[in-house]
Amino acid sequence: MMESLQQALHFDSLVWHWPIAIYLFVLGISSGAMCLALFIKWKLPSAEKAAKNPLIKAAAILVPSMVIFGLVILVFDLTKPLHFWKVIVYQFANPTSVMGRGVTLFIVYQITTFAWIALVFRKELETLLARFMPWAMKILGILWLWDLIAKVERQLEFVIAILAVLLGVYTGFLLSALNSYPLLNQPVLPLLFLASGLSSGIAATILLATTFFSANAKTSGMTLSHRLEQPIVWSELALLIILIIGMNFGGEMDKVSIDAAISGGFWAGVFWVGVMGIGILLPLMMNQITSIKVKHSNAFILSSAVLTLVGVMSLRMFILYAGQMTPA
Amino acid sequence: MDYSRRKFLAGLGATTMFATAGVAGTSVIQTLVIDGKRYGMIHDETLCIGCEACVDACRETNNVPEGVSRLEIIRSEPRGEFPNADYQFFRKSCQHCEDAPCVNVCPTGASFIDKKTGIVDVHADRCVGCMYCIAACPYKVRYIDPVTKSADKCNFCRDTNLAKGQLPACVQSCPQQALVFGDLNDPNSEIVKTLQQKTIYRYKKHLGTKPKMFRVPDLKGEIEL
Amino acid sequence: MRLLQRSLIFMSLCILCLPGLAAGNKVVSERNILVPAADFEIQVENKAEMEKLIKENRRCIRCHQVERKLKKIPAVTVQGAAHGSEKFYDNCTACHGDKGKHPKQDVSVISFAAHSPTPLAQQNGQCLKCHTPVELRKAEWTHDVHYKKINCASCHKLHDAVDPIINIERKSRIKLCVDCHHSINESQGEL
Repeated sequence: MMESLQQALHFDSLVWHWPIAIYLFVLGISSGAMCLALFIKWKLPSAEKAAKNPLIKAAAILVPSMVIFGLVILVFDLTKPLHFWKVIVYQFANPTSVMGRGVTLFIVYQITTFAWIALVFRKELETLLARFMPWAMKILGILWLWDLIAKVERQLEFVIAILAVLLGVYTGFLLSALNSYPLLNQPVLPLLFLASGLSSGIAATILLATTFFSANAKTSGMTLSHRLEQPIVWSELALLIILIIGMNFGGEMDKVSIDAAISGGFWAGVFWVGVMGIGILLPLMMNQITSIKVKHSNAFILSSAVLTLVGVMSLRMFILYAGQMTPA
Repeated sequence: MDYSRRKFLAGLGATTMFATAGVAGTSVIQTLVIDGKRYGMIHDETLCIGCEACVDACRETNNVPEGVSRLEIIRSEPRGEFPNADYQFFRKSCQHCEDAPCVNVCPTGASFIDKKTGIVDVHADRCVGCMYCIAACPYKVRYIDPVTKSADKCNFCRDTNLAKGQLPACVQSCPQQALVFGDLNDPNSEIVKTLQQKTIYRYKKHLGTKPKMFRVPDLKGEIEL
Repeated sequence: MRLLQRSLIFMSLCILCLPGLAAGNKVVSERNILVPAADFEIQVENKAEMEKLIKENRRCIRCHQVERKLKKIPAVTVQGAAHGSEKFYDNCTACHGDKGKHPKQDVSVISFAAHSPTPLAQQNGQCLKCHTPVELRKAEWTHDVHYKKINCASCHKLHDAVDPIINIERKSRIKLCVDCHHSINESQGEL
């Protein structure tokens, strides 16, 4: 068992290791959480304040922290972590680099999401600033900036929605740009990663909101979240099936690659048990067979969120490792 | 390394195509505007004896640390039975693609194609070590230099022998003259003349990388059905 | 309950990171394998044969323990590598064959050299009696491509204390390939 695990985690054609899978995983969470937060805010009854909603609070923590966490992982995974600033300085040296455009995206995404968070939690932040850093309020232009953002709120949210979707597909494009590995070089990969990123973003937001911000089944937005979850999981399943069938229609190496990935060995196990079983079929089944009362219990909400997260992380690990097993 | 008849025919096709292009002085496979020279190499697998003199010469000339290599000669499984068994040799090194995946993915522009020579090279101090290029290379010829921590690979001795007006170290060291190096834009160069005379193939050409490493296959007439 | 929920989060996060923890590269290094050849015992089946062998070998030693000045053959003082054997009286006949009419007719003993009167195939055939092709290939792939072309004695010296080719350094090995093949190319394939 340990021997086969060794072989599954260390092979010649493996270039990117598990930190990249975690990086892709947390970026997906950020993208999904952002999309969910915007959805809830748009659908929220006008009387209720977005800043008071546990799900939006949870998303506001997850969105920037997951990107920062992902970037920290990425920086420490470089062979020269201290030179990471060159990626920012020289990001336009190669306009067609997916990673270069990713860096641009991170910068814009981080700035706009921070602006949005500052807007949504303006009251709370102002109180905090007044209490701990009274001088900060006197900085020229800070209030003016706040007002300015408030004026373009709709437009800002629209831009952020696009950026969040771009971040979701970016995680897929990063891998699908590699025509050296047939399983990675697939056009459905960005869509698959966007869908699974949404799943994991919703699950992580629910998990955090339920444990730290006392959200429950009655929290506004919770029903919406669950309504979103179902079609996303179904589309994930569809995309996976399309990927498998499509690769079987492909060239010689496409067939060899998908066959090696899902027909046997450690990563096939991860795929069938982790991705398909825990991540997709089990949550779908649980949703079908349980009663409304059970579904509304915190235990159910939490366990289905954890299952989804395990499934999505399995998918990232599976695609990354199984993808690199077979070079073109 | 298996040579199917299809690959063999594909190789023939490529020769014809290249020969036509070579006579005209320009190539149909050219995408990037290269000023003047466009260096390429031929590895004649029928002449190679697998001695690895090239491997050591490369290491010495370019100061390549132990544990990594810019150039490897991969020996096949024996063909035939003792005492008639023989081997095929495959040169694993940078193909100097004209549409290089490693250059296309590099986020900082550290990987680049030198416009004066068409050589794919790396700015070591611009590289941050994200390893995207290593993953992107379909030929798996890139590595992280354990000393500089930058991505590195064969650059046809661009900064060593070539800068001194000499042939690349591997070409110089080959006792069999199995390596031919030269300017593909020059119709009178040895490499263009050899390409016109011999059957050649290029590795993983179907990926659209337009490699400038040409190989004379050591086929011994075998056909796989 | 709150504590339980929080620990649930941390546990799930830990599980998510588990696959990465099984790290640690394995380094496999292969040393030069010395080829185990067939046993010397196979050359004799009974006592009579053994007596004949001892008699033959004593005759070899009698002359060759000193330098043969007329033909400039140096004294044979060591049987290098694993080829000498006390039990078989230096084991000369195992490789060189029976004395026959030697030294009156040189042809009757098998000698090992590039310009020996013994044909190449016969010289190398002697080695192959004990060393199997599989073992030879495992020890050094170049056996496969040189066996029919040059005699084993071009590289192997069994009357030295140590066979100079065994465990030869990488640099010298490459130099050997380069020098030899270079000279073949210079002479257009004629040795």
